[in-house]
Amino acid sequence: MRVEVGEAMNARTESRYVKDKKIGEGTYAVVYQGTEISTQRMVAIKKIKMGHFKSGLDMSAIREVKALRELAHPNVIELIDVFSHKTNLNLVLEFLDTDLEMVIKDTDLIFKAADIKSWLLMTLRGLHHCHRNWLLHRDLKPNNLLIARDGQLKLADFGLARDYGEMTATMTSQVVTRWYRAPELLFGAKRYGYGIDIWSVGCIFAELMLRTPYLPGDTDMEQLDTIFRALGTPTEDEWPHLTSLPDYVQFKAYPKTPLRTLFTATTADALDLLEKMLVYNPVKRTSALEAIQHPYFQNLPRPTHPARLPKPAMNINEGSVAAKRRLDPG
Amino acid sequence: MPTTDDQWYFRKEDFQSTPSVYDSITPQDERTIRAKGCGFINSVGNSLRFTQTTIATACTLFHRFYMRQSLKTHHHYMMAGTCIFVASKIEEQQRKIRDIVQVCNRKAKRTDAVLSEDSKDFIRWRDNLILQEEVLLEYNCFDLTIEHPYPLLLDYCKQAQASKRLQYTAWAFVNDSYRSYACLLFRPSVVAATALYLAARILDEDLQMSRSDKPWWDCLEVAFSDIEECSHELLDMYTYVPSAQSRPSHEA
Repeated sequence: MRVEVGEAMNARTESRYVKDKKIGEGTYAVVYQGTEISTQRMVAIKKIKMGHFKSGLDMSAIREVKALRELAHPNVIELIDVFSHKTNLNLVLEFLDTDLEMVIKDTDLIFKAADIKSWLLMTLRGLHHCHRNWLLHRDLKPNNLLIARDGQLKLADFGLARDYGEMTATMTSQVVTRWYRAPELLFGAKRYGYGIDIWSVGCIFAELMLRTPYLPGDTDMEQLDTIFRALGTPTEDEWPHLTSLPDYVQFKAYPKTPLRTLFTATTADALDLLEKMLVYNPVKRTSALEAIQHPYFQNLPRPTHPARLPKPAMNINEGSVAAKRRLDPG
Repeated sequence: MPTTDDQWYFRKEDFQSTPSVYDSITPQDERTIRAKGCGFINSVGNSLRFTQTTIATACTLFHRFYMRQSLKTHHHYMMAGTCIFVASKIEEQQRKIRDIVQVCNRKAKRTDAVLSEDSKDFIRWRDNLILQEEVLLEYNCFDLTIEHPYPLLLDYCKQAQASKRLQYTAWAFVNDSYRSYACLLFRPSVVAATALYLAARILDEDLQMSRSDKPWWDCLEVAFSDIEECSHELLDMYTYVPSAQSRPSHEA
């Protein structure tokens, strides 16, 4: 008996899904809405274009498959299957119809303090699961935090995610969308760690409270300037070895202004947590686990149950806009 | 998506009925050819200055692939090149595809010649790498996280307060283990313990675990019967791989 195991398995996998319609297209993938035939469950099928890459399969696809096969958590998008069809690689992902950016931008929605606490907690739980599995996400931002119909928030877009063990391997600092990029990355650090994801979560936390991006810079230089204006220019004292970072340049010495001046309506425990996420020295920045254990999450009000969180009024077409936007680079 | 790496561990008798054996390659020939393929991966990998982890990942992808495909349908050098190509991505050590092509060609033909990028050989290698990449991934069921004995070995050496000499020798045994079927037969912990055991035997050093009177393998939670079996697998390899006879090599 000689069985072509791989091929047969692959064909079986492929026949389990139907592609219903195209919902988005990006630089390296086309996304379809599809259905798992046996369960009628809605899925997203991300078809990775292979043909036009001169060096074969795109790294983002490899990183995404590698990361998602290792992670299974209610707050991380589920990779249901992988199969190849002719020369395309297909990732079958759980279908999620909105994302946190759409929620933040929807001016019809009113956020209670408990809602923000709930989204933040789910983000941190998903992130802690990544970090516990030695994985840096490296691209956290509101539109990579997808939201399921039942309100569960899920980390998605693992195209930049990579294994991280110790501070030994050098990595590119060209990661994370600018507004959410940690200062050490903007100064060109090649050795960095979990702190870069925490910085992004801090920015997202602030954005949830402000309903507008907290630190929007137009260029990398302006990004640093924006950060320092908001949080004060760091000194070598609070951030040792700062001046020896590869792209370090001296900035105007802005004074430290208390967060309270901008976040007037926020509780003290929330501001304390935010402050710990936005510590300049990456070594001193809080971790995902410490953040989850912060009094902010124990104090009242309790985080809103996911099912009762505000949600944009949705029809399926708007969903496709979200999917399309997500795929656009930058 | 559930990950079960159980599907990647086999019994000794499974090697009597691989796709290549059905293609009338004898089990012994298959061992030799696969060892050659892994030797090729090693020398290409070393030239490209890949870490031992990347090389080990490439060898594992290679062995797993041939549990499902025949050496007759997929030439071992071409597949070995593809494994290096894919492993370089998995382990975040990307190189330009043209550099991989050049080194593969040099090592396969044992020449120092550089191919022109519009030559037939260059295009054949490049197109094959890209084409086979997907085939390799598919037969590997997209299992891209592969564990190796190296981190465990370092940990065991620390526990055993092993000398530098002992560490290097054990490390070299792990490197060589990829030419055998060890990565398909034993978990990384068993291979690491076996490498340490063999290194201690060769160097005639005693293994003493700190803070314990128990036999050392008990401290590592590895069964001694597994170590014995794995030792046979590793030592046998030195008899059928001609180039490995003067080894273990000290490529750390």
